[in-house]
Amino acid sequence: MEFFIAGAMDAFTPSALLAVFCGILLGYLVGVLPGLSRPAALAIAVPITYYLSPISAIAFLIGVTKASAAGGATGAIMLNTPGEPSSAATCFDGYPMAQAGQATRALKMALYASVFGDIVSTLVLIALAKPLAAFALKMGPLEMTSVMIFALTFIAALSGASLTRGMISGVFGIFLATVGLDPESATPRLTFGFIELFDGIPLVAATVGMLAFTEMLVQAEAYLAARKAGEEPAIARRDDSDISWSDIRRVTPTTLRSTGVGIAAGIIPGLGPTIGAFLSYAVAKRMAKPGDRFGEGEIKGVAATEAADNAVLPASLIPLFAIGLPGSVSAAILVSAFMIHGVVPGPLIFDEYPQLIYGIYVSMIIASLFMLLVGRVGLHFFAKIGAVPLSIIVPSVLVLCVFGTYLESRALFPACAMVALGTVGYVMQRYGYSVVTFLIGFVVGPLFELSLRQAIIVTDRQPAVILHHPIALAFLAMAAAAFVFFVRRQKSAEMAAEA
Amino acid sequence: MRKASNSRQLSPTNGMSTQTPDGGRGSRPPYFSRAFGELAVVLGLCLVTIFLIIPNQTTSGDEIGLSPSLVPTVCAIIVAVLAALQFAVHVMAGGGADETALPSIHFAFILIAITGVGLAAFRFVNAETGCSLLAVSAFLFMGERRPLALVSMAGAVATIIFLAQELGI
Repeated sequence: MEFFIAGAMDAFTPSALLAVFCGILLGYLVGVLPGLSRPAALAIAVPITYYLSPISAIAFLIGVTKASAAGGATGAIMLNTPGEPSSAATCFDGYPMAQAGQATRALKMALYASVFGDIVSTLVLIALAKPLAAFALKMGPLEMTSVMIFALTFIAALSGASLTRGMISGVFGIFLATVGLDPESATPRLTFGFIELFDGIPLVAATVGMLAFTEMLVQAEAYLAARKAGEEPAIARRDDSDISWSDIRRVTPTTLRSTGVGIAAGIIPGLGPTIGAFLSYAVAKRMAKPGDRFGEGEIKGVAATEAADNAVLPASLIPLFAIGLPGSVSAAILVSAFMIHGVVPGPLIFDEYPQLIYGIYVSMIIASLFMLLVGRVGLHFFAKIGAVPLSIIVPSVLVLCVFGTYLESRALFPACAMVALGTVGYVMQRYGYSVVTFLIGFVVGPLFELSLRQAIIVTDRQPAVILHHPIALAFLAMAAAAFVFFVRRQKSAEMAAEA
Repeated sequence: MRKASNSRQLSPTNGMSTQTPDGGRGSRPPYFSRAFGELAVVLGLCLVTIFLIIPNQTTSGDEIGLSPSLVPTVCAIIVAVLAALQFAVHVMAGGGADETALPSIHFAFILIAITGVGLAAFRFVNAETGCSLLAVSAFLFMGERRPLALVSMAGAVATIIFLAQELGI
């Protein structure tokens, strides 16, 4: 209890409150602006936190993440252009509502559903993370290695059309994570003589390069191609509607269900907010009552996608805090922020940094409330910001990428590494190799190598020893089953596409 | 009875057979070439990594614990095996969904080159010049031609970078 009170007091310091508020503002801007995704914004926001206290830094990034999820709905509703991929499903009903002159109604419903899903998911995180961490502490290196193999298989399968390409990306991420000093002998490994690589490839350079820089290349390509074709975004009609109590009564069951779907999508590694939002929309549509008009401006559709989208992030922190495994790319980027401040996420975090963890929990609740306040006050303002063209966003973000990575060590090496990794990320993305799986592999790489080495030593290089570890065996069996299942599905999908 | 012909025929099943009924060699379907190209690139990189990069860039740990090259080598082998599996699945399925034409790559590479020039100016002049040059070049590349907008962008970026450095951020 004393740690909780101390953590709450940390969260209520002016600097932490200001950090959450600024994070919410930045997150809303990111969410509203088309072309800058949540992970990309989170990646370029990490360098801003170098000089903040751990609680302020994490609170700031949580603010960015939460608000960008909520803000993504604005572009989806007003312009049929989702600010975030996870808000794409909001277009199905949000944009028809705006076209029918009900933009305010749709925007408010998106905001309230977002805040609801977010708060419920945060409470689930608070309730589940510590007991799961206590369980995770009983797991040995064999079990940890098996869990990570299973999680990577699942993430690889769900992050793109091809499991094998996803797996290649994830293993490539683990491979690049081995650059630096060997953890046992401390001898240089794959450093090519660069002293700067002795500590490994900078995590910030990898996240900024693979997400923000790559995304700017892809967005610029799409923007210039569209400009060549002379395409212009559609503008919604002026609205004359507001949300009513009967709307709230109608959408409450849908919102509750969708929050549950979002929480499940957050806990299961690899699903993430986009799949969570689409899954939730599909469930809501399947359970539609007579008179519901999904796809034609149904308010339940907006509530379903936004509640699920916002429920994902807090839930994705459960595996991160419990076993040190980021369940989503946003959680993976948060790992880099934790590590910058000397905190290693994992089951020991509750024993080593209890005050920080409780402070983060309280900051998350504060962030939800700020999100409601900022979203409600700035509803119409944010709707206008969505019109900022990519021709301004791309140069600005490129400068942020370069200067942000430079700030990490006041040296240009991380910035050069960022451009190199961004180029690799662009080529990977172009040919269907998931950068998300790469990053998760890169982030869990050191932990995976440590667990694998320990497992090899513990088993004395005898694979049969695994038969005495039922949990490890179960996870490996599930990984193998998932691998076979997803490869078969990939083959069927490709055959169907060919036909 | 089917009449043998010299026309090029593709295998109806998996695209791997490239022989015409009369035994002559026909051309491979486009997806086969692309999948084979992908396999060749990934496999080639893996072989270079396993036989050239890892042995030359890994120092022996003097028999302390496990070899430092263990995990990188295992990763490279797994990638090679997965690349072969990807090729097999793709070819057995007869192509698949990702055979659409890819957009031109030159936009992205011009932007990468612009960033490289900005980094060089950052290195050899200073941060303000490098970042302003990067922003203005990218702005121009994105289609902006109004002098006032370009000057404003350069000024805003230089001011922000200067303040960020002066304030010790």
